[in-house]
Formats: sequence, C-alpha cells, structure tokens
Amino acid sequence: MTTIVCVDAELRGSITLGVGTVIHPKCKIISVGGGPILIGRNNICEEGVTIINNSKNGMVIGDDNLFEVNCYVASKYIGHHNVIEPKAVIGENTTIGDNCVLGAMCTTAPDEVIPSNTVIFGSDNQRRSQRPEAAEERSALHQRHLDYLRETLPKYNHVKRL
Amino acid sequence: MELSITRYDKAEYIETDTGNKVSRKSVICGSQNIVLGGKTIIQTDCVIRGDLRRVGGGPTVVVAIGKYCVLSARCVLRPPYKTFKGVFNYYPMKLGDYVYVGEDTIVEAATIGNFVQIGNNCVIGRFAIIKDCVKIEDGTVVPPHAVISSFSIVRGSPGLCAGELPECIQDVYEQETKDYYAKFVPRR
Repeated sequence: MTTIVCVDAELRGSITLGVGTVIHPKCKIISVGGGPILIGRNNICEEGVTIINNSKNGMVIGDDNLFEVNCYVASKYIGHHNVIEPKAVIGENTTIGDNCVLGAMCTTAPDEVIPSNTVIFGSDNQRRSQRPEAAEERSALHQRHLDYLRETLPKYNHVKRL
Repeated sequence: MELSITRYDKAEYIETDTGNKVSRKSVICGSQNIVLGGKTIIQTDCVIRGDLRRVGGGPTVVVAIGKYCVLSARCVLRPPYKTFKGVFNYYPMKLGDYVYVGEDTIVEAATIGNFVQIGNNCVIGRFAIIKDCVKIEDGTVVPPHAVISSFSIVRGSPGLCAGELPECIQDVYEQETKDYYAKFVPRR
C-alpha cells in the first residue's frame, strides 16, 4: 500500500494525502485560498485533474474515489466511492455524498448538496439514483485498478514515494 | 473552404525521419510503446499515455496511430481498461489513418477507423469503436462501449447519430488532413 505521486503533478499549499492514493502526471492539486486540502485513502486522480480549494476553510475528500481525466473539483466535501468522469465540473461549496457518479461533462450548481447514490448524466445534468450495492461491486474493480497503477506507473514515470 | 497556413515555432517541434511533427510541450508517457504512422502532428500540451500497457507478454504497442493524423492542442489519448476473467488490464488503442482529433478532446476508445474527424471538447468513452468515415461534432460525449457505424455524424451527450455523410467524404477528409500537414509549416 504505497502512495504514488508522479513528479509531473503539481501540488501546492497545505495538502494531506491518505495512504494508497495514486496521482497521475499533469494533475493539479492547489490550495489558492490557503485552506488545507485533505484527501483520503485509495483515491485515483488521472491526468489533467484539477482539485482546487479557493476558500480559507478546509476541503475534504473521502476514500476510494476515482477522478477521471480533466475533471475540475472545487467542492468543500466529497464522500467515499464516487466516480467523477472526464471533464465533469464540481462547483464551489458543493457537498457530495457517497457512491455518486458524476457523468462526463456534467456540472453541479454552486452550494448544492448531492445526496448519496446519485447519478448525474446527460447534457442537461439529469439525476437518478443507483443501488447502494453498486459501491461494493465497483470497489473490486477500483482495488485492482490501484494495484495495477502501483505496479506500472513507477516503471515509466518518475514518482515520489511518500 | 481554403485552409489557412498554420505557423509553428521551429524550436518547439521535433520532426522525425518519417515526417511526424511532435511538440516538445506535449506529454508522452512510455514513448517506447507508441507507434506513429508518419506525417502525424502532435500539438502543444497533448497527453499520450503509452505507459498504461497490458501486463504480461505479447506485443507491447499501446497506442498505434496511423499516417496523416492531427492531434490538436490539449487532447488526451489514453488506452481503455477493464477486468477480464478477474484480471485488471489496460488494452491497446488504435487510431487509423487521416484522423483529426480536436482541441481539449479526451479519447479512451478501443479503435478509431480511417477518415474520422473528432471535434473540439469531446469525450470518447472507454472501448468505444468508431468505424471509418465518421464525423463527431464539437462537445459530443460518446458513451463507453459504443459502436459508431460508418458515414454517421454524431452529436450530443450522450452522442447519437444525427445525420449521414456523403460517400465522397473519404476523399474530402483525406485531402483535408493532407492539406493540414502541408500547411503546418515553421515560422521563418
């Protein structure tokens, strides 16, 4: 269980990374407002992901989340087992529960509270809910994905082992 | 429409023997696993993930790109992943010849055929298969595992077939990509 941060990634400000989190190259985790960013265990941040904290208050991200390519996250709280798909935008002050899926190119409104098990999809950000058991089914895939990345990323990229 | 000449900074681009023009500002991981077909242009801030290769033996090509392809600024090419028989793996990705990929587009497809134009700001989902002669319009989201048939125009989120291309489109796209390459010249 190692934390892997590619050297190409940009991390600025007060950031705490949980054990087992994998950060791909060209990922940006920045605290602009000075508030700390707390990231839990076993998250995957793919290339081009921007996690930004514009406020003075803390920002919390839970465990086992998958942030896909070029998504933008400025929310104050994200729970566990969420999937943020490519180019999705999470607005400021948003709170996201557990086991949510934010579809490709979807956005959330600022100051919104998204309950657990929500799926946001389509061009007009439609909502529906998914079964809570989906989290367990996905977690096996997520675990294997992490194992693969921990083995493969250091072979081709310069990584910081924390 | 006549294409205008694109001038680039000579110091920024590396030109290979086969005529590929690759920006130094692009991020190419695992370059030993990437094959470029020749006369392909890779522009500023593109990301190509050749490091995410299939575990185990066999051929090591992760991203295969044909000839006369254009990868515009800030686009991302990454191979798709899945678990098969309980084993997690990334699988190779293939782009055909004369493929144009627009700016800010993310491609996680399994196969993209020849003569395909993908617009700006699109997302092509994991294991999508795009056949020959297809136009993907700006801002389209092609869902994972989708199969796009030949001569279709795709738009929207999720991407749906919105029209048909004429049969002559193969020659048009071939000419357009060749024209783009010919007019992609260094600044004097």
